[in-house]
Amino acid sequence: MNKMIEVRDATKHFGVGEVLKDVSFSVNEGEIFSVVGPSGGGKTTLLRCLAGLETFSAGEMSIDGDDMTHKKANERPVSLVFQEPLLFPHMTIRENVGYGLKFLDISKKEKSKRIDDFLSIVGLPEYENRYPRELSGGQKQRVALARGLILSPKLLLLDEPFSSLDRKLREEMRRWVRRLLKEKNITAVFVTHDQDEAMQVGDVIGVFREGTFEQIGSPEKVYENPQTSEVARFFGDAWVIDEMRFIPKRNLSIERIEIEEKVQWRGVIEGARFVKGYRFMEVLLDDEEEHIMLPAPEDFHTGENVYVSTDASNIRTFQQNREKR
Amino acid sequence: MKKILFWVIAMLFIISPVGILVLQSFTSPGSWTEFSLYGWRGLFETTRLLEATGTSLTIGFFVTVINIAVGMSAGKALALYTFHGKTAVDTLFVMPLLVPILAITFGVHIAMIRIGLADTGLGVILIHLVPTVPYSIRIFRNGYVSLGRRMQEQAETLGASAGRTFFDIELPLLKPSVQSVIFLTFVISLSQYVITSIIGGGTVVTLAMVYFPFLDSADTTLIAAFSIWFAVLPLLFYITAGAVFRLLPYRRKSGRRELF
Repeated sequence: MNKMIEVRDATKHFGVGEVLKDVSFSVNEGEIFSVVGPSGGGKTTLLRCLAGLETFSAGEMSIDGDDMTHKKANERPVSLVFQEPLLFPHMTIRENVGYGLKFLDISKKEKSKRIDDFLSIVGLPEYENRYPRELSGGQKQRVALARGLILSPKLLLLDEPFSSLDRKLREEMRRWVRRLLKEKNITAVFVTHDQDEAMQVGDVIGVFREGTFEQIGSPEKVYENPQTSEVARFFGDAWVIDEMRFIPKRNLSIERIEIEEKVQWRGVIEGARFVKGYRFMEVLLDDEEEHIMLPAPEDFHTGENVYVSTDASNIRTFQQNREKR
Repeated sequence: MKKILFWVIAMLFIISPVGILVLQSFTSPGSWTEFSLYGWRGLFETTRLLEATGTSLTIGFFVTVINIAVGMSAGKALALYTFHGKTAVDTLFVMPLLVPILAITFGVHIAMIRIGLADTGLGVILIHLVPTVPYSIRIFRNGYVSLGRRMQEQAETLGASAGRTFFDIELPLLKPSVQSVIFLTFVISLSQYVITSIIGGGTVVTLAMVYFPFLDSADTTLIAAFSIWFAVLPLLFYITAGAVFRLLPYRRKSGRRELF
């Protein structure tokens, strides 16, 4: 497959701090690349560098084979949708959607047709003459997306575009955006701090921490085979024993009694939690002083002594060697 | 209740003083009832009235334009960029307001005589910048602080050049700041008497130079007419500036009617 964007050994300094450290990755045409990681890890800086709003201190990047390293933001075939919709408040929805078309060499008729198309794609044709303040948060974000997509960018950058929406709307938007990007075969880099969102939207996931990628791979691969303890901890669905070993949580169970042939850790039930319709028990482990949340079909009392159990064969080790794409 | 209070206060402090002024300018001296154009006739018979008005408008125009240019660039830098000595520069920009303007003018006068700017319009324009530019920088700085830079960045990623971003996004969204600066600067420039007379040396005759000597006279009718003339100028200037602003792209087509 054709590599749409390629970044090689990119670094970024702000004063003495190094925000990006030797970042290298590529995204194939039509692929959605989710960049997921804790806040403050440099994800937004990476995106700003890709958009051309900041420049890399060192390293190179190309889009569709053309070198972009020193191109300005307005000269790159890249659209960026920010966390907030940032619609221009003094323009109508129609003017907002069509703003970027002013800088393209196409006929007025063609422009008007494209705006009509995109207004109906985002489902807001009857709002064309309204002003941004008259729209709801979700509608605004849809307009922002249309405004970026109408330019048929070679690369679409999304910086936590759903984080200001409520949960239900957020989930709707994820599905809708993914379908839209796939339909239009858009190459996208999608930044989020939410691992569910990253897996739901992305074809490929890059776990980004402290200025660099810890691991890049398909959602399944990153989820099942975290290469470092940080990746495993971040996804939170594996229990990290130490820097070398982890156990997927689905292989752990809570037992009332000691079982000879199992590996067990003593703990105390702290209470019940309910997540998306399932009952979980929160266990405080004795020696580790660590909490662990496990699904529990039967009822345990708060304060009850239990054993977190697994078979020895379920203990896995991290493959520290980082794979680079 | 609130509405009534509003109108009582407005009546007492705004509408009635202006009304009295207008009434006075159209009646004969010493009478409140006898209609007379005496005051207005006297005003237009004043030597060099129109010439002084023209001079005031010209000087005010350039002072305002320079204020917008300087205020915008300095205000933007202070609001959006980080650089060494920012606090010092910020303080320095307010200094002209802390030193008595007469002290500055006397000092600057000597320098202007040396380089040939004394007794010229340009000299007067320059000295009018002293009491106005610090305000403009403040106003634009606040404007840029609340605007931020993300709207401009969004425009850039959509393909807009720096120039387009300025005219399409920055200028329309900073309209309230521009309005304040235009009005404030023009009024301040128009009212300068002492510094204008020192630097202009009597050669540059502005409206204030013609107006102030009248204050000595007891002819309240004539002064009333003069005051109205004086007050109408900034308003006219403001409306004209508003018309120019209408030429900008993306003006609001609906919503409330605005002067600007």
